[in-house]
Amino acid sequence: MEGKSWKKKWQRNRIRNRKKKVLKEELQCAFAAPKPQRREAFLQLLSERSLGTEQSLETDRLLKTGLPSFVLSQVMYISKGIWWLSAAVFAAACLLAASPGMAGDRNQNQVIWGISALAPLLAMTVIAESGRSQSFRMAELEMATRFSLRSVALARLGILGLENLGMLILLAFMGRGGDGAGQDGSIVQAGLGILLPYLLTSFLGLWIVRRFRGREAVYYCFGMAACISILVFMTPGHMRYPEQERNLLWWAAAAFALGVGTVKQYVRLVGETAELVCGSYNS
Amino acid sequence: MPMDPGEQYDRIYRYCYFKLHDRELAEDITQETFLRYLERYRCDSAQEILRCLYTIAGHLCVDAYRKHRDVPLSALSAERVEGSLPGREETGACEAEQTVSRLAVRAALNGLQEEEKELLLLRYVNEVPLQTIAKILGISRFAAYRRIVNASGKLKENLRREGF
Repeated sequence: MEGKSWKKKWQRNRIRNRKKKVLKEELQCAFAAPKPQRREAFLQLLSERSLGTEQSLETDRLLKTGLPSFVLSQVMYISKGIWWLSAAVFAAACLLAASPGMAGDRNQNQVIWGISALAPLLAMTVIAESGRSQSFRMAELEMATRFSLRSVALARLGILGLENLGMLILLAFMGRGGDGAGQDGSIVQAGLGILLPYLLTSFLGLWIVRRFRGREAVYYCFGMAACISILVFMTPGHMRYPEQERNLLWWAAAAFALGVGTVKQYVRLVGETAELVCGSYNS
Repeated sequence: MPMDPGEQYDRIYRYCYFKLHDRELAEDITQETFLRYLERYRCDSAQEILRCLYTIAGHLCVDAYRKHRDVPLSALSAERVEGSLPGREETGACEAEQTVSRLAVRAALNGLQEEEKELLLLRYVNEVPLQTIAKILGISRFAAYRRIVNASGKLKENLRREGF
């Protein structure tokens, strides 16, 4: 008896639920509107616009935090290894310049090429930092953080760029040295001698970072930097410091071309990050 | 909290169409709603986003209604006149199924007041949470619940009369 009433109740509930479902469907049909004509075009426009809004929101955040304090906050997040590498390069340059018996025309040539051979390692600090997010496969996650990957990367590259500039100027002064007769060498020549391998490493390193993903890119970059460094170190036998004066214009032109190439690689790298951001928004 | 316009577009458009019975106008107002929201509002929760969207859409519909109030009936598009029976030409999945029950539901709905129809649309068709409906209407949650229960009760009564 009890079983029958339970069955009746169950059937009644089932019918009621079915009626409710039908009623809901019928209500949806009754309130249905004609298909919108411009939906897709509008949503496309909106996704582009919302990307702009996100960027303006980030600008608001940056203004609120203060640009200098934001940039300074990024100093802490730069890998300690990079600071250690910079310090090691500086220490090696100091040792090279201050080592006894380095005065004199011939030895001065060795100092400048020795310091130039260290420049690729200095360039590696910037390259390793620019490819860090990708090498740890954190780029996608970092795009969703409070400050976008692009702002963070630009801030860190700015810091390291300034640090490298300071180092290069110091190295150029160290490399300038003298000819042993109390006369100082040209700072332009020393600067170009150091800048050329630095820019060559930066250019090739950024190209590698753009081409290869993951940790492989960093390994290739270090390999390439080591090759350039060794090549530069071996150069003094074939190319003497005073002879550089004759080819100064060529050196300057090569440095300029490599500088333009490096800037282009940076712009492309940043552009690719932006494309990645657009892709993640659209998907 | 980011808003997904694709998810809400159809619902807001349906709401606007219900208010205006004009496809072009409803779509214009739907788009204007999203643009205004993105320009002026930053909501933290999904409920707040819905409240903002429906409130903006409601106000824009009122404005549009006032603007078009003086337009003579003959000037309106055939679609707008037929708006009371949507789904006649282009309601997608519902197009083929013109059943008796559908007519009964429409007839039952015609026996309701506009406000009651709006409540049913929001709650059962657009699936807006009760709390958000209360906020949109500016009433308490309990009052919103009572009104929805009354409207659905009235609809069921009308349906019973139609033999559903």
